[in-house]
Amino acid sequence: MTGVIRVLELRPEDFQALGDKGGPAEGLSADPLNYWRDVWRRLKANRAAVFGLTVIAVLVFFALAGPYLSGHTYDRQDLSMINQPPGAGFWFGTDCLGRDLFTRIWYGARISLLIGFVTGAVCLVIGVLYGGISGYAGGRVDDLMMRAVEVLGSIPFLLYVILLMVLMGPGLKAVFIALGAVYWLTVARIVRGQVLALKEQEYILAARVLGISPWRILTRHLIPNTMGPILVTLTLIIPEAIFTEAWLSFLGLGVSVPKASWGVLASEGMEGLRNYPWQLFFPAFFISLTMLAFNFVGDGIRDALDPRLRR
Amino acid sequence: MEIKNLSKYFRLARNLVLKAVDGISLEIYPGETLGLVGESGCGKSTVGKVVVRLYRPTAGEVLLEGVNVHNCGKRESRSLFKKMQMIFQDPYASLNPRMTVGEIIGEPLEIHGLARGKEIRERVEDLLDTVGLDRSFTGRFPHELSGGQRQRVGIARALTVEPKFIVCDEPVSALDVSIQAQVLNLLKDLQQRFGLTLLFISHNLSVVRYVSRRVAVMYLGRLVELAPCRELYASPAHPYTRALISAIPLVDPGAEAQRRRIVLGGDVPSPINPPPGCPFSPRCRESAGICTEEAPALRNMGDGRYVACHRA
Amino acid sequence: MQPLLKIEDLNVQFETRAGVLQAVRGINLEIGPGEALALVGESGCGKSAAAQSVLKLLPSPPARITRGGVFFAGENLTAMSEKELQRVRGRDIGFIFQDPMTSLNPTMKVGRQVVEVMYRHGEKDNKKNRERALEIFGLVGISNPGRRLDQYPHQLSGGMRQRVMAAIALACGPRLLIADEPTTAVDVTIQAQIMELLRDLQKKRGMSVLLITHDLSLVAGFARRVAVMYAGKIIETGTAEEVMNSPAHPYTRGLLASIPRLEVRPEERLAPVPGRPPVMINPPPGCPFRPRCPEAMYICAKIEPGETILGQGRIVSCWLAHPMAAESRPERL
Repeated sequence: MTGVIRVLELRPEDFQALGDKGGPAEGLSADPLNYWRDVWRRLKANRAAVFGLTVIAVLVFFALAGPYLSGHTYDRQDLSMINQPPGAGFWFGTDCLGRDLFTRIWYGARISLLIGFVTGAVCLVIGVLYGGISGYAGGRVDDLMMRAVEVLGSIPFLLYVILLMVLMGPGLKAVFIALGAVYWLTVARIVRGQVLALKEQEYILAARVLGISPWRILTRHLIPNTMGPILVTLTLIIPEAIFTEAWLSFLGLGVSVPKASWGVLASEGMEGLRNYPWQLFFPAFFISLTMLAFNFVGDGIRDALDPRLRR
Repeated sequence: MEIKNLSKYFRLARNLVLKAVDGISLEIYPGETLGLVGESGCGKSTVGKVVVRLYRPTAGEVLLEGVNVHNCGKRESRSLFKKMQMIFQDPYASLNPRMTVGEIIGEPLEIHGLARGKEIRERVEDLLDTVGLDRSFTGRFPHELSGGQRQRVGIARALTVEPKFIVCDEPVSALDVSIQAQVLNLLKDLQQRFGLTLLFISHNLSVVRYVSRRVAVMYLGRLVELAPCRELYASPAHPYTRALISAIPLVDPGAEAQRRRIVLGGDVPSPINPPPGCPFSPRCRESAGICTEEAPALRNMGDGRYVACHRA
Repeated sequence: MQPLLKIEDLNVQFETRAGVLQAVRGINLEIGPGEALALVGESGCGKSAAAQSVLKLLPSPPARITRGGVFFAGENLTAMSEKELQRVRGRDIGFIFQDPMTSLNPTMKVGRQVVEVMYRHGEKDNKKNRERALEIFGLVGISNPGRRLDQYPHQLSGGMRQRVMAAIALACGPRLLIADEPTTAVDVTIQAQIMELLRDLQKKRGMSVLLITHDLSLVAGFARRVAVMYAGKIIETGTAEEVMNSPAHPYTRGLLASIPRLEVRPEERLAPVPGRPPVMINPPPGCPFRPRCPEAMYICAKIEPGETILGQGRIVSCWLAHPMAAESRPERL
């Protein structure tokens, strides 16, 4: 600092009062980022999360377009072409009935991803509303609603599924209902916990003092502030639902033939494991890839939301 | 505003009752600022929250212009939202982080039908002007603002409904000294401009002295002294008030060196299990036999002074 | 007299997402044996970063001491290894933190936390240590010390916890006590008790105390010397009387005018410093206080002022103290 002064000649006019020029400014911070844009920016900086998102996007694209690319249909059997290895005609080979595995994999992806996303959406709607109301109402209402959750949560999952199968017959609908019925409980618990913590926050008190209705407080003030943890939970629930469906199909409780989910395909692939390993490899690979991708995204979102990493 | 014999107990467990506020009576006159001071846990915030109907009182009543705020018709109840407002302590927790400043200030206008469409934006900008913020803040989110700026937004939000009465719950304790002074000046100006009546709750006695006309001192859920500001600071009557005032550090080193300090021993007892008799007796130097047996009532000492002490 | 603690041209930076934050920008400070010094400033001015850098308590990264050093009784603390520093921490220099709740181990009885510090610094006889702990608990004004030793932090009140913090800091009889905002989290009457305790330690035990605070009003009754920090620099030092009664820097004047004082009539309006403190990431040239300064001059926007020595231990960093300022603006004198 002294060095600067030595070379600089000070003139009397330098010591004139500056007056109001450049007076005080109640300035704003430089970057006008909103919360979600901020989260998105951090998420983009996370390589694993970007990888996960890309994988999910590619999977969704092929699930939509894949079945039309190969020129085969998912249920056409060609008994002259059974158990073909992957090659030019059948990119992923064929199964024991001569059906094109590439087409069936992507057809299965539709069902598996659909199950994941629908379960996620159902859980989101029911869980958020239920948990939100329970947490915000508090007291006896909360006690009652949470006891109900505990009772439902204590019923073994397989019992659910089997009962539903008996009632509705096996099929996609039963699987949806079974998965939805189980996973919304998790969301409800998490939302309730969040809402309980948030409702003593001063901005909620301020809203109450302003006479804002409970419903509006819940939907406009509380739920938007619980979206972070909910998103993380969803990224865990979606792959879990996919996996659970695969597992149910493997047991024969899931989607019925000739429709195929990844679980059905894996189950069929098991039979020919020794001689035609690709029949198991492809569905297993895509199930694992999906799980991994969603987990990466979930971790990424969690990190992006973590206040400790902010700034 | 009239607070009559107000009590608020919290039931913590089956046999555990916390007497946060225990039989408090106060009157707040139109256009005045009443300071409510006390240490943490004395129940001062609870009083504020009961007054604005965040809690229901266990006993007693709160009247605003003769209307019982906790027990009135639906229409009156609704209009009360527009008469009473509150300003909160923590500038980081009192604004919804997912809403822009414009939305935060605009919401009450919208739901009370005070403005619609383009008017909302105009009113929001007016209010930002009023609290000394630039209009460009409308589209900003709370986390982009400094503590002082957020507190101004909180004040603007309270002003949307043009209230007559505002409870200020420690509005400047979380702010730095220079920012604190800005906000205090703003509150003082607004009070004069809009003829507001304020209940100013704070643990900081110097701040309360700066804004209030009368000051009430609370200890363990009870009112121990109530007096006009000047008299209270010049000649505190209750031993607790004396100790509080003596605990305020003076800025001037000369004056600080000369004065006699009263350093209170011990801590504030738990309000779950308050001492018998006068709640202050275990820490009071002047405590006598009667103090540990019987709780003193608030007595009128003339000149608008009230003291709850056997020895005063 | 050789100073006990000497901070020389200390520079501390934080790596942040938005760029390098210059938290401390070349501060010099000396504390003699038995002296009480107050380092005052608003949040974000770098006072805590400076204090914690004395014992290298800041996590690195993001914090980094880029230049300068801290000397304790002639030893260079900045150059010391973590192991050597651990010897100094607690034994030679005690540290009281702002928030007693987060700085105490919630799963350990407070007595053991005190004894452990002694044990770590070579006092292996824990029976004797416990007796000493009892003694120190009495010293810091903990009533019923025998019972308190066996309690957990959550069983104690805020004021008690702050005293336990003090007891831990005092466990090995340090020569210097650094108190970083020790009264921010407590009530007025407890604040008075803690300030009384610090005063006692300094006056009766001859301990040097460095008090870090944002509250100028705590200074008068405690410290003989005061240093005011703004934007990472010490902008004014002097005795408490000099700084409080005739502040030389416009910022100090503004701070003093912001405090609602008990000595002043309440009708008198506070004159706060307008605006808010700058964030020292790529600061513009010139004096960092210039945008808020009511007396700013053209030079202030160009070059940051150096230190002007006004007298023995009385230093101000402001262009107004330059002789040419007085010449150009005679009305100020």
